[in-house]
Amino acid sequence: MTKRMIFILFLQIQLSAALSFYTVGIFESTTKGHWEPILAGCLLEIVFLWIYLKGLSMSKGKNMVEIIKGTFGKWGAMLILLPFFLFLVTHLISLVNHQVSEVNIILLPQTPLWMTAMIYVALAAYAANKGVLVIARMSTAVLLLFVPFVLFSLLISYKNFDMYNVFPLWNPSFSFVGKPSFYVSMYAYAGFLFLGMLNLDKPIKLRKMWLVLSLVVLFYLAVVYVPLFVFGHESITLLIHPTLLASDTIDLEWVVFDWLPSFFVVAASALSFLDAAVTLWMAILLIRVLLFPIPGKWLALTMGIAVFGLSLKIPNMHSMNRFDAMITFLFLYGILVVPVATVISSMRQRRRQT
Amino acid sequence: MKRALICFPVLFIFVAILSGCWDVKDINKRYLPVVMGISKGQNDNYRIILQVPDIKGGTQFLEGESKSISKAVEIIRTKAEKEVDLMHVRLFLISQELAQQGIKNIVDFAMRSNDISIKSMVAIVSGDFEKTLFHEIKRTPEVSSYDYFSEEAGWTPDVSINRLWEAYRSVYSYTEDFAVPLVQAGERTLFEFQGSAIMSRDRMVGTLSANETLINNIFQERYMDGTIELSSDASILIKKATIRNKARWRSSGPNLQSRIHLVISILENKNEKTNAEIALEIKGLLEKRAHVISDKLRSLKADILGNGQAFRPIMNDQQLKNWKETWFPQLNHQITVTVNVRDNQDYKEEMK
Repeated sequence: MTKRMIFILFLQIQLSAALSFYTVGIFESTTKGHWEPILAGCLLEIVFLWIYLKGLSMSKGKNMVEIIKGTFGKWGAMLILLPFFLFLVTHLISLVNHQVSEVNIILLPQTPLWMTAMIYVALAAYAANKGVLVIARMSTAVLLLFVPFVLFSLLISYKNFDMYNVFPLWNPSFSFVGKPSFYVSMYAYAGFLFLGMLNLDKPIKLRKMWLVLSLVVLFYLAVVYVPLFVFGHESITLLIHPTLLASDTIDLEWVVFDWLPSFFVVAASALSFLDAAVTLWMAILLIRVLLFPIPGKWLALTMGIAVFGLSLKIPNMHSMNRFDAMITFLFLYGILVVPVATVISSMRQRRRQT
Repeated sequence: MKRALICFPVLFIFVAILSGCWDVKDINKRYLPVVMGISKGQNDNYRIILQVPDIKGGTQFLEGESKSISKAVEIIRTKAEKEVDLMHVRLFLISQELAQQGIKNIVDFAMRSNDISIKSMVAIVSGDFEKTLFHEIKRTPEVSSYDYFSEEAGWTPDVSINRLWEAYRSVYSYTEDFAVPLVQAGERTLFEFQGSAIMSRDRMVGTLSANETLINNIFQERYMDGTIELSSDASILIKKATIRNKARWRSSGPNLQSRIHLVISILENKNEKTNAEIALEIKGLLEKRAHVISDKLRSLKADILGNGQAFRPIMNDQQLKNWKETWFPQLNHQITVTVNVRDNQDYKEEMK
């Protein structure tokens, strides 16, 4: 697996998060100066990514779980990584539910939800079983096949942009810090955690990632600002798929397909499915390193069934939103504690060696 | 071999499931209406009329009446022999009576429902609603009523244009209202354009004539080849219109300077005026018209020119929320027009 493939996968996991309910979270957390919460979140991610990469580069060839296990022992590592494992599972459930409900509302209103969810989970479990190398290869194909559609859908509505909708541009009180929605939308900044599970002999350096990171920031800004340009804040707060509807505002007779959002949904599903596959793969790896080294395919099967069953337990959007709010502290734990634990473990091990 | 024996049937099942062919309704078992007419019913709140084009070039009409729009559609579905699919509805015709009471419910219904395209156009029918809705013109099977409003088909700059998502945006916006085309049944064509309805938030509060609609379209920079007549001796074609707004907040209240720059071409010139004379005349005429409209809109509290948008950068939260109610009527609006006569088409400038 080359560095380039890792970066492509990283970019698409971030993009998948941005196309999910991230936009709604940002619009709920502030009424003006939307760039403030976006850039604050991205800055947080970059800082902890730097810490994480630092920790990983100190012990080459090992993944994050092995590093933490080496310092804190098996039980210590299990204690530290249990919330992280819960984060992975809950994130997966949330991913499945959001994507399936989006597909149901926009694309397949007649198909029963469990059917879409089953196919979604089955594909993710299959990919996770095949390992990250296969997922990374697939991500290259997804980049070529689907990401152009995302770009197309985002930029196609430029004719309807009204730049004045950006204003007011400055929110001096930074009131989004006090809004729960801001923290709910932070799940989108957890996409870097898989970088620590790769067992790389040559560690990734942050300065090699500037291009990818700036693309990520650009995407995060675009998915929020495109619908904002089109609709303006007052009306956008009512919608649950603002980016998608923004792409539907343009009437192009030369495009054969009348219903442009279907491209968007298909592309978003492909990306979110990559995200789900990587998340499931991480969860399987965690169990295999920390608990018992049983074959991946049985784990993928049981976890797939478990996630499928649990995602069916969430009956409606209301409980879905409550679920997202409940798991906020889990992914905050993932973003904040896991990189710090990694760097501390690496430093201790180095001190022990010298 | 053993693997293939297992994998093949599994893949085959996927083909059957994923093809999306379960509970499918064939296209010849569906009605695909293109126009939805909404008026006030005799007994209930809403009366819905759907226009369904048929293969022979005629139109079929479906009707339903109920307290809510979706229930009225449901009643139509029950009555109809085939499935009624709203996916291709392209035009909403709303009766004037209903528009004067507010169209927020209609806009919300259409935005919320996932089978109605948010690109559909909205128009208000003045005069006899049923006559306009049940109006058919013979021997033109190609004509569909929404072509009239389509920028890719029969739209001209004298007609305002309003799509569902624009109506939705403006109903909720603090700083923008909208204009909706006002039509009635034509003699030989489907519609006759009556001007535009001025909407304040979601209510119709007044009308603009066709000439005034053109000014509104200039303000929206939605401009493609519109003709203006000048005091019976010349007429010109507007090639391009750009507008610059400069917003200031003085102690006396908001102050807006709009500079409109027009690029024109002269079509008719009976009294052989010079280009400079015509440019001056156009400038005077448009400035006068624009000021009249601007005053009228302020008295109606309907910011359909979108003046408030220009003030968004300098307003605080409270001013933003009170724009339509308090500040827009106090706005001091100056409009200046500059004209560039690009050419006289195939003639030289001096005709003598």
